[in-house]
Amino acid sequence: MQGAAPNFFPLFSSYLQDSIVADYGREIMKPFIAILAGAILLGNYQPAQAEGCSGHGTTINFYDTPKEAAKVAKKEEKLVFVLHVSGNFEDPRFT
Amino acid sequence: MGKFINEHFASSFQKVATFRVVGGQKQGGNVAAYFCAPDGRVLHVVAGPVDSATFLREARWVVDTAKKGIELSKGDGAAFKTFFRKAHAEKLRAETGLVVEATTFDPPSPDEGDSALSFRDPTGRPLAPKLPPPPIDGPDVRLEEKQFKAQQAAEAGAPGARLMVDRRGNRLVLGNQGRVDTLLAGHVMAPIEKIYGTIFENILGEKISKKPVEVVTPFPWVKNSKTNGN
Repeated sequence: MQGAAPNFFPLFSSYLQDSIVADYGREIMKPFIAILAGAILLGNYQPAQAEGCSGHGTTINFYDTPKEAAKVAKKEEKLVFVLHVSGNFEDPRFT
Repeated sequence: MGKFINEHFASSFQKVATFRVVGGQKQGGNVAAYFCAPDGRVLHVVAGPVDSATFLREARWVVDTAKKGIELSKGDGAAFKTFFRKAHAEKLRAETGLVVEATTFDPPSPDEGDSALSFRDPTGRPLAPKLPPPPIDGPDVRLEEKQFKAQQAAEAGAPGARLMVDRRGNRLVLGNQGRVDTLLAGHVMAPIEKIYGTIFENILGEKISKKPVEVVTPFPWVKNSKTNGN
């Protein structure tokens, strides 16, 4: 690699300024960008909690009753997902 | 998975059965996931615990099939129901090699739970009925014997695999999901309160109960074996 060490910050401006720097930056940053995108899309997915909802430690928004879920589904043109469980869903030891 | 579910479904949960806690350990208990229309009529069910990939596949199947059904039925509810029942029969054929004829007409039921003769629980509600699945015709005739045997071997390893009998009396193996598809080929678009009893008791083998948790202490006189020195 020729020339000075590339300036990665800000990432996207340096990416496009100089072709040599851009090539270097692109190759080096590829895996980091992939990991970052993956983390945003998968690992760090935080659902927006709607009113009357609780996640119970999951990424799914659960409404308190199927009736409420049905009301929202009708309004937002969605389907309804109802989970039937044995015992205490609120207690993580027993789900 | 959570993103897909939140995007396409409004979710909720209900407690319908119990499990036992014996010596601090959970025993039994189960789970069933219902995908319904906004009026509570069931489109698909995932019976028992499954991994996230399987769950997402089933959820996608419901969404895609519902979209296709809405498009093809053009606002005709009967056509949508027929389409969805046939879709379950086709799913069963594709996944297990077994053929079941979808029920496309629901005769009026003489007992809808309002009869004076119907059983009711102590709160006055009628008990959840046990719906009969449509009979299995047998293996898909387009399959070679070797292919069908391979599918049956795979099905034998599926969760909840159980022996079934087809119309001709041949013995077959079908897992939880296969039995759900068989049931839904005859009962899709039935209200959830009519289907859940069949799913929880006939398919998952659980008893429906309002008890939150049944704690079992088999030897109550034994406080702590270490302190007793036994």
